Amino acid sequence: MKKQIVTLNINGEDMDLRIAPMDVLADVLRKEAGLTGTKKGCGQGDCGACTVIIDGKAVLSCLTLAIACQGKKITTIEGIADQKTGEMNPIQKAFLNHGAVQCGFCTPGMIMSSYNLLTRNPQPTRADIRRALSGNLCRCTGYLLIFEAVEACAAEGGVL
Amino acid sequence: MNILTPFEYFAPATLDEALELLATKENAKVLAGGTDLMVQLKEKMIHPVNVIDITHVPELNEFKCEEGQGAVLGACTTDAFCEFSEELKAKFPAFAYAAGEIGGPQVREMGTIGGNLANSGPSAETPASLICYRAQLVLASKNGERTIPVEDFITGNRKNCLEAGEIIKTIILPEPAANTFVKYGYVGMRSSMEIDIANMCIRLDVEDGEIKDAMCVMGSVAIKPLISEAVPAALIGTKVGDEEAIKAAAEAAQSEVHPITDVRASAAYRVDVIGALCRRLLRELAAEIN
Ligand SMILES: Cc1cc2nc3c(=O)[nH]c(=O)nc-3n(C[C@H](O)[C@H](O)[C@H](O)COP(=O)(O)OP(=O)(O)OC[C@H]3O[C@@H](n4cnc5c(N)ncnc54)[C@H](O)[C@@H]3O)c2cc1C
Ligand code: FES
Ligand code: FES
Repeated sequence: MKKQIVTLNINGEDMDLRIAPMDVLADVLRKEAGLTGTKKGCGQGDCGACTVIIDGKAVLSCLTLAIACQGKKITTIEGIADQKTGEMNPIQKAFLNHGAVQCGFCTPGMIMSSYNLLTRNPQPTRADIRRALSGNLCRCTGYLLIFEAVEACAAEGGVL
Repeated sequence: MNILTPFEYFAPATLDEALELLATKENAKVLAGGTDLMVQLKEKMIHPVNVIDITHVPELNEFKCEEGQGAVLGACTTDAFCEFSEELKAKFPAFAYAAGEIGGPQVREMGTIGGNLANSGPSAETPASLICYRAQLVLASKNGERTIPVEDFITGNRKNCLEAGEIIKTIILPEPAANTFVKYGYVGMRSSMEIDIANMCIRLDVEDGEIKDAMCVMGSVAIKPLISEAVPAALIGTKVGDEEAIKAAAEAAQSEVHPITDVRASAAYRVDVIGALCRRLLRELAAEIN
């Protein structure tokens, strides 16, 4: 199937990308847009490593056709840092400061799910956090430090 | 870089356009949230030549839930929408709960109720409660529309009565009577992102503490949702919360299921789970009603 030029709005920028109908967003982000922050773990919807935010919803880029994202706003892990200064978002800092990162493979997905939670619910309970992150697997940390990082970020003023 | 077999992609903006494409494009498959379809494409279980994305069709995204009017859901209503809808939680709590137990948060933001039904997997989360709430489906094709109860829709493992070129357009939930109480429950290996070992939904219609009518639907124990005959027989005419009746109902449910052994659970364990689910749901219902 021939590739066509499709415009996708990624992190506030319109990007013209070469996309075939069957390309999934995770691959297009990494290989066409050069945004390798988004990880592809299972490619099957099970791990959440590929989580991005589309039109305000945390979704899985490995199960999303890139071509179906025309006209939508896509935010990746690269897009939540300050776009001018490059300064990390408070949730990114919280993950670092609280040791919520070990191998780091789950981290972009964890952060996108956490970011999405905190934009909707700035003062989540531990139960809210556990539920919001229940679609993200981490094989290293045991989750506790991740939950603490999200709580600390909420306590220190949130993500915005 | 892609591992999917090539196909052509269409995103019709109207229902007519969608139905026309489905009627005319060879080997076409409907795409809603993609949480089942994309996995099936990746596993090379299906090989469509044309993929028709129906999520832009306005009729498939409608939502109505007015007082005394039940609810009307376009097929592309997402699982997450149902999980969070205050109206649905108030009127159809067992359905809203079931929708909120599908996969994880991202899967629920993508996945749709129409997709959950059309996929017709034996362990699907929403059919049992929709059947207990007596939900109907409006199916649409280029040749017109027809309405059928959810319980007649699923005919087997990943089989349903959709004909070529036909889609689920709307899910209609009739207004429940004030004396109707419904509860859904499931058992899985972990609390999210798992496939149910067994699930169950029970409806009780109650007058003065007595069960006048009952329904029990079990999932993940047969090739399609199993509508119990023995559980209502054990419950009708008894008092809500009567422990003898609860035990009899659980045994009745167990006598009806002949589940399989698979990677998730043995057949014997599934039978135990069915008994436990039945007792748990009936006790929870009693606590709510009394
Ligand atoms: C990690 C993961 C966990 C999951 N966990 C659960 C779970 O716990 N419980 C559960 O029940 N499901 C689960 N699922 C399956 C899935 O998320 C749900 O079944 C979902 O509701 C499907 O909706 P969809 O819109 O994504 O369907 P799609 O994938 O878009 O479509 C599914 C099928 O239905 C057809 N279809 C879709 N909409 C229509 C329509 N309106 N008319 C006719 N045909 C249509 C498609 O052609 C396809 O064959 C899980 C999936 C994943 C990836
Ligand atoms: S890579 Fe998308 S869920 Fe695992
Ligand atoms: S830090 Fe390694 S998987 Fe989470």
